[in-house]
Amino acid sequence: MKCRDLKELLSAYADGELSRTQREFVEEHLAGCVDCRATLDSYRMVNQKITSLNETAAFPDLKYAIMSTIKTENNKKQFQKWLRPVLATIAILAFIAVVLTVPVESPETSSSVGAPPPLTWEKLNLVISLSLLAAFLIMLGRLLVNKIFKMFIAGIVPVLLGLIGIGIGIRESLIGHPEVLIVMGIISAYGVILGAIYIIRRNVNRWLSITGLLLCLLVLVLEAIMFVGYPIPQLWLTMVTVVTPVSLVTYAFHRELNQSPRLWLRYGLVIVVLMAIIAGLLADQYRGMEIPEIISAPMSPPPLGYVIITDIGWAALLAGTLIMIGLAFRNRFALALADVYSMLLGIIGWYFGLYALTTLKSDMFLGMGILPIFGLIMGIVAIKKRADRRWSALTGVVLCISALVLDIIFLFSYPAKHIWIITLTILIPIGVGAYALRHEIGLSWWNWRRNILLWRIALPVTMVLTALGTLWGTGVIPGLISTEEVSTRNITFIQGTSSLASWATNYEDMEELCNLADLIVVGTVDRIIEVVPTEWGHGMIYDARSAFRVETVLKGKADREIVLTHMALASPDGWIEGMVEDPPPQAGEKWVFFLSITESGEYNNFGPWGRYKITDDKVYSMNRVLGSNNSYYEEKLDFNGVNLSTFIGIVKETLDSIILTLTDNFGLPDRALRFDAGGSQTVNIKLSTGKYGPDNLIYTFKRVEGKDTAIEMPMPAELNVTIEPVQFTVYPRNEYRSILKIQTTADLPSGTYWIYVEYHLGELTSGHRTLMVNIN
Amino acid sequence: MEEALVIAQVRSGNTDAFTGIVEHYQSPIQRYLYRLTGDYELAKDLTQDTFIHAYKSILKTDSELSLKAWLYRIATNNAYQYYRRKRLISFIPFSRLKREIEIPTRDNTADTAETAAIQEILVKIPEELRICLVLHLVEGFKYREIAATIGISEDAVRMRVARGKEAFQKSYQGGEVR
Repeated sequence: MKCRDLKELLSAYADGELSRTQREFVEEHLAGCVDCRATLDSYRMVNQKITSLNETAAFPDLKYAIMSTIKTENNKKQFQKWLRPVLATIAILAFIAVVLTVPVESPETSSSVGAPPPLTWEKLNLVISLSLLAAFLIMLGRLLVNKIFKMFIAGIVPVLLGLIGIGIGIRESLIGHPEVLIVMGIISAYGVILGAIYIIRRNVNRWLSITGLLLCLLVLVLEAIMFVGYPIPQLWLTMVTVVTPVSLVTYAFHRELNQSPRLWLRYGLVIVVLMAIIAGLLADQYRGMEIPEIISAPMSPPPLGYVIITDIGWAALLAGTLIMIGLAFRNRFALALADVYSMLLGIIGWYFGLYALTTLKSDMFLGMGILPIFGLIMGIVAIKKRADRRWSALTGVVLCISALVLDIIFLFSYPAKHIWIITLTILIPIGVGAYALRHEIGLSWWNWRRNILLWRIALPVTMVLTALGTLWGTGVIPGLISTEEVSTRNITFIQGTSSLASWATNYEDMEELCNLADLIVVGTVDRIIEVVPTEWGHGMIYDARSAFRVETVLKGKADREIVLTHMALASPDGWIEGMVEDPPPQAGEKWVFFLSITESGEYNNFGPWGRYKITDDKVYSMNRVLGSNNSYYEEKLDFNGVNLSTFIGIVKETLDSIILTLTDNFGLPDRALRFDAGGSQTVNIKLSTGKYGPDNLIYTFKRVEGKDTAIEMPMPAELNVTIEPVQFTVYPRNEYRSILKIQTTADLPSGTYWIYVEYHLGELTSGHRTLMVNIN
Repeated sequence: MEEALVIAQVRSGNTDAFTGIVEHYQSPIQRYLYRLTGDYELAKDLTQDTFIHAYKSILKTDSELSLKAWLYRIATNNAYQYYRRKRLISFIPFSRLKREIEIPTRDNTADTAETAAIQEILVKIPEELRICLVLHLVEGFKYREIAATIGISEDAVRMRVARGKEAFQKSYQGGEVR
């Protein structure tokens, strides 16, 4: 060993910090090395010099200064103690208010023009997902605080959120869907919080955060203005748009920044007033503009039932609220509650899991994901903070971990791996977990190995469960969720005698089909995923869900794989009564599907008329596929071995043209009304512009002799027809809805009246549909 | 002083119990921070911050460290924070803050000329090395204790102490020659 390498040992020798063998080694070397003896002396000199710094004059007594500061802060905490439960209570009240007052949407209200529809579950879902995502971002930001690079990102996020908020706001204010204001509200509130945090915490690059903060505030002001203009003021709307963002911001200022809400008010109000003036000027521009409601084709929603996701979203929010309350009242009672709660959530997670297994309703696995993670956090916090009765919390932790393992297995067996599923089940739970563990009990990833008690028990249990789960999931242990098992549950169909089912609506032509479909796709059925039985009346409904690989999208937006739902009825003995015209698609078959997307986010086909089988690149309508009587088929929809490319050409050409359809509130064709004299009814007029526009569109109507004629007849005075809106500007590739209302007086003679509805686009283009009105 | 008992009292809401901890540790912590920063006033401020921070976190966390090591850790982090902030602010030109945080004129009259000279050399040594030197030589911490306090390995402590001494010796000799 060279003397140079010995320096550390010599230094430690001088400090008396060597083991006996090391010491002997150094001494042996020193005996024969003059240089090292000199080095050692110099070290001893340094030691002696620095050690002399030990002597100092007396220091001032800081006891009183320190203790008085602590006591002042304690008093401030008293206020905080009071504030937290109040905020928690507000959050709970908001939650309850929302649950109680969210109207279950009826199609009636959603289609009336003018008044925007009430908040739908669908939109609510979007809001929940976005706010969870935003919360996740904030947590991420907090976890990664102090790193300049990451702070830069955190500076950009508020700007982005503000811009998104403004974008949504402007678009929605033009279209007239103010319920999306809620999204603006929550996104912007998070933006304000993030912006403020980084402005106050950082010394550099404040301009970025300030820009973001201002943008977000602007959105909030815009939102407030629109909110006032909303025609149906409702409690839940106030709660969600006003109370929630305001409490969020107040809470964040208080907890995150230890700033009094007054500070935020002082500066915030000035900015808000300025912004309000600008926004007021902007809002004036739009006032008085009459805009017809645009029903754009809905974006491709995820394949899972929205309602179930919403339930889970609520459950997660509730869990989060409970945890907040627990932490707000951080005391023995809360801790005792924590491990019970953790066990409870573990059990609920298992319940979801078992339910999903027995019914094959795999939507439920999301519930398994979010609830146990909250349970896990509660359990670990309880274990760390207490000395006694750890076993119950530990049981909870183990239960929760195992539920999570099950969840992950399910996740991988599910056909459509959407980013939002991954976000909900993996990213958010991990984010929430990491945040809670780090900031609530100071447990960091790198010193987890020190938490012996927790990991000595929980880790092996988890590993065993993971191993078992993997074996099950990969089919080594048969039976649990192997795909073979699922596919043997294919439905056995009884060939019934039914011909055309009365429940299904007939479509007149390709135009109607194209106009009413939300999604038109060509693709192959990959496999049947599951058959979900639901009790219905005296029998059962079986929702056969199959994974459909999309190859071409002709209309709408779709992921590469979508889950089709095909409904079939069953008799009480369990057999499925076949709809001979409309059997569920089987694995490996290639189809063109005209699909509607339901409120609950499911893809349904249009019945036998909305599906065309492709064999060897030739297209066949269902009557040809099944060889049944084709007289029930509309000639225009009867295809027998047309080339696929020709068929696609027909569909595309139809989509390019301007299409008028008359529909009921379920989006199904409606060409005949029947009611008593004196009554009134409405029909929706749906117009797709195809490649036409922008141009002025006018609707006209007249009474005619019969279905296929334009010969005009006098309109009786007792029959009053109105179309609202009747004239507006249209743009290409949009859909517009008007309401045709027929009002009669009791004097109207019974009989059939034909109403000829015509549109005129510009000078040249026009078209019509005829409505039959039967008066009893 | 029965530390566990005092901590339990503080946790249960008896703020005054914390006075005992301040009384017992304020002088060592002040000395440590003074020798680390070479600034009497700054050391006073940092000491106050250290105890206030300690009070807050005593309510929140269970530390596996002894009270002493834990207080020194907070003090060290406070000093680190101070240097980091100073460095960050030095990036912003013409900052009003910069002038405020600039080290004030030395008021080291409490020290002899010899001590002041040693102190002056010491503050020029890089922080990581200086922390280990002061903890070991002034505060009498064993390597093992330093390792636990600042959360590095014992080998790293040994290395830092050796390098610190090396750095000190170089400056000291340079000063003598001149």
